[in-house]
Amino acid sequence: MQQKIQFYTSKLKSKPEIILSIIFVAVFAFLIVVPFVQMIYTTLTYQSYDLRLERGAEEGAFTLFHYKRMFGSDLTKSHFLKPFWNSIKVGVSVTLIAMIIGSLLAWLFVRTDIPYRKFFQTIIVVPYMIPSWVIALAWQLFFQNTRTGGQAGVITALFGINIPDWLSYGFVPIVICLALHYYSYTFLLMSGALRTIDSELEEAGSIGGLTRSQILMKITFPLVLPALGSSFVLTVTRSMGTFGTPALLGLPVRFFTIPTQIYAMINSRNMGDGFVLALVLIILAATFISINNKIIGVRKSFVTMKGKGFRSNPMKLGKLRPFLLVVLLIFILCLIVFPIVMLAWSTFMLLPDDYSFSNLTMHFWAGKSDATIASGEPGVFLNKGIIGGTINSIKLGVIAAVVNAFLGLLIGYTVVKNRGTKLSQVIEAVAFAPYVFPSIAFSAIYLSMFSRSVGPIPALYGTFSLMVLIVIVKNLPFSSRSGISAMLQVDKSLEETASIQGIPFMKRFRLIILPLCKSGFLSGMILTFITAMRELSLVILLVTPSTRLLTTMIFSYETQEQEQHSNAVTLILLLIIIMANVLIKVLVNRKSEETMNLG
Amino acid sequence: MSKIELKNITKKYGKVTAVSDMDLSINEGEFLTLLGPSGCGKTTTLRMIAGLEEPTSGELSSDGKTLFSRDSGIYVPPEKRNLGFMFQSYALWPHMTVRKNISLGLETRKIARDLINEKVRRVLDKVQLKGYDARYPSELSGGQQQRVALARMIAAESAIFLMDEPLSNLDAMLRVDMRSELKRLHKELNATSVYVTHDQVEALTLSDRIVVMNEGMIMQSAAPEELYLKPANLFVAKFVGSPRINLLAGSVSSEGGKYYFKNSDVSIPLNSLDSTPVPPGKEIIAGIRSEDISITKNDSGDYRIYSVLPAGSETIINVIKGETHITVKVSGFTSLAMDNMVDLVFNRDKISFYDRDTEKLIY
Repeated sequence: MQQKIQFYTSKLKSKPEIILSIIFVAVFAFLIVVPFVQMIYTTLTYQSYDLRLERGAEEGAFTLFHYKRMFGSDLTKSHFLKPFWNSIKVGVSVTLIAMIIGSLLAWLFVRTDIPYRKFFQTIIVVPYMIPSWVIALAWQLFFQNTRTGGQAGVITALFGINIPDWLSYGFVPIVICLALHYYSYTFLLMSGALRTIDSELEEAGSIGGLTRSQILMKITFPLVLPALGSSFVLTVTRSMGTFGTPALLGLPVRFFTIPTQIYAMINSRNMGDGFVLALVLIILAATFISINNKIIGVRKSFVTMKGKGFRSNPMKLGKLRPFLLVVLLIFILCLIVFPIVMLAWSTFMLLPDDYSFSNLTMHFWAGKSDATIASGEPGVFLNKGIIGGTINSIKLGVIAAVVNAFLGLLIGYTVVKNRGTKLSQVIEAVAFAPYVFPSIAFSAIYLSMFSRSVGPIPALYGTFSLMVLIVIVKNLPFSSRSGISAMLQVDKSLEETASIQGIPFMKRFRLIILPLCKSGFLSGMILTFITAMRELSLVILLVTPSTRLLTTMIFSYETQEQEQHSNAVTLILLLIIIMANVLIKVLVNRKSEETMNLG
Repeated sequence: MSKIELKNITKKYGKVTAVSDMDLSINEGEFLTLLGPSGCGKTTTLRMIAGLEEPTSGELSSDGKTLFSRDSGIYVPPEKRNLGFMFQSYALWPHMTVRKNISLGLETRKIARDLINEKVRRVLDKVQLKGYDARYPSELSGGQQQRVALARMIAAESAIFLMDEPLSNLDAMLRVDMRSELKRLHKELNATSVYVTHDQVEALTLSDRIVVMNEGMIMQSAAPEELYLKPANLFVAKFVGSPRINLLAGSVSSEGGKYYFKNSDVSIPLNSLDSTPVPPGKEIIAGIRSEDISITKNDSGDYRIYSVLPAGSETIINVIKGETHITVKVSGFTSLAMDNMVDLVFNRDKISFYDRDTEKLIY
């Protein structure tokens, strides 16, 4: 026995990957598994909220009360079925539209002789960088009607047409706005896949006597199927789980999806029911992922084909070329130029629905507090709250970026060095688990879990650290994936040779592994920064006045109908995100990275 | 005194056994080669000696000091084993100069700066890369990279060198040059060397001793000459030597005090011993190398030339009789042509006999 211990301790000393995996298992268990268990536990016990609903209920006692309420009572229809179907409807519609737009664009840019490709390719992925709900904000500016009591949008104000409710709020605008964001995911994945297909494969088909459509169906389609599958899963899970857009465009007309329903419940302290819905969302996401893995998993190898003798023969568009060019330009105008110009314009308007030049003002940018305007909120540049929020957001982004990049690489190291063992699989799987947690639910659990001190960790409720922690954990799936793929590209002998020469682990990591993974490391860092900057649903429950972020300020200005402030802050956010993106492009070769980090 | 000692070493990956109950001792200053087809366990063995893999069971020691033993709870990590390792891929750090690649390991050992510089200079000199110290690996040719890897291993001045197919990524010409470099270097430094290769010529040219492995087991451990002349079993006979040894199935028979090896096609007279160690009539396999057969043109000969393959310094001639193909090697070029009829003379002293069932050498 003593010899066994001696053997393992001497082994541990020289095998950092084993020490690391033990640490990761422990930390992940605490930060990912425990919250999940606690969530299930909450759904199975009475919460303080339930006490006034159920006579004789005792807080903490076991009960199926929440499940009965959600799935078998007169509340089922309004609190479960309706949001559920709305989510499915939104998810499926968004996914279909987004995939059609994304695939068409990918095909257009990779496979045809459309002009100004480089320029368009850069512009077309802008929606990928900015928060999905920015388009929803812009939508409101154009299509808002007066019926819900807010200010009229541009169209109503200028032309006097009252926009019907279905175009102002609810299902239709939510689907359009989300589709205009999520097409970028399909676009990136599909252009990656299309680029790896040698057009000789298609030409061989046409020499073999297949017609154009047969080539498309029998050769091209199966080859891009894995990319389509990933796009589908990514889009459907994300659009069902997203909070911002359905909140902005759905709540005013009481159009609930699961995430907004969860938000409403948790906001009123009804944790039990909220978590039941969160579980529904998790199960939905897990189902889509596993279906995709079943159908497409085995075919994955197609994508990684070697581009040997690679040749891509762009299709001649002929007469369609100018026509498609115009369509593209209109698409970009509507998608990017109008919304951003409109957001900017609105920040200079004193009265929100007066579009005359005499109504223009600098007040919302540089004006001092004036009790008659915007409840006395001072202009952006003088607004301590907004400046504080900007600093908080950047701080959050930078900390998360640095921590996630290092964690990702360490996880990558651990997983790759332990490859083939159960331990390695467990770590990889658990690090990916936060992906299926809906952000709202995840933050709700953290809220309750860290509201009192846990072990050595003090009560974190209301602190900035809690937001940092949750953003880091929620980003683990992406950083660990990019860490793993970065580590896979480093031949293991490069480290082994160093360890034989007696170079200690820290030095190996700093002098060999880190420099070799530099480009993936940096781009992963900036991507995490951007994701953290635009995070809304994950932090909306956790912010307090002292820890406000740009995104949560946008949301609260919006709900207080202070559109100018909300739009001005949105512009600041966009500016920071776009600068970070420019940085990414300067620092690393972007082509390979963009597709990689989509997961 | 033996330098490295492997006792009952077994390595399993799940259900697959890579190395099976291996015993091997490597002598001080010896150049030992592990030779075998891919997947035979030779690289695994080398990596276990280095400490990069752990045996599933067994004991490993060096200089009488145990390096690994699960039973007595001993595990010495790679960096404490005082050895150098050369990888097939060279494992040069691409983001460091040649100088840094060599000096990094020395720096962690707290050696004085100018002593390190002196060492780097000396080893670069030794591998004929003087003046290349500021280059990056990507700015070097494959052969030069290989030399840097070699220099890095030498610089550490370890008592043991482990090399995992270091020459396999070089082109044929360079490989021949590097073989003599390595041999020279071994003579100068006299470090105990374990060398892994699947190239039998490399093994024969470099080694003091060759250990042929197959499916995780040692097939034969012998000096190159013995290995080539008296392969202990059919596997080694087939694996070592090019062109491949001729293996003929048949049996020994005696006629009037003379012994012959016979099958339905050929009849080879054997040395007239008083008796043969091979019992007459027993089904056996005879092995004879292509250079131990001579060939003469004779229009009424029994053998027909199937193909003639001149290669400059030698010509490989394939002859056929009935079902039996025989390969003959002659030096230089030949006037023989395809479909000529010829006679063969077998060098009686160089024929080995193998048991058909056990595949082991009988005589």
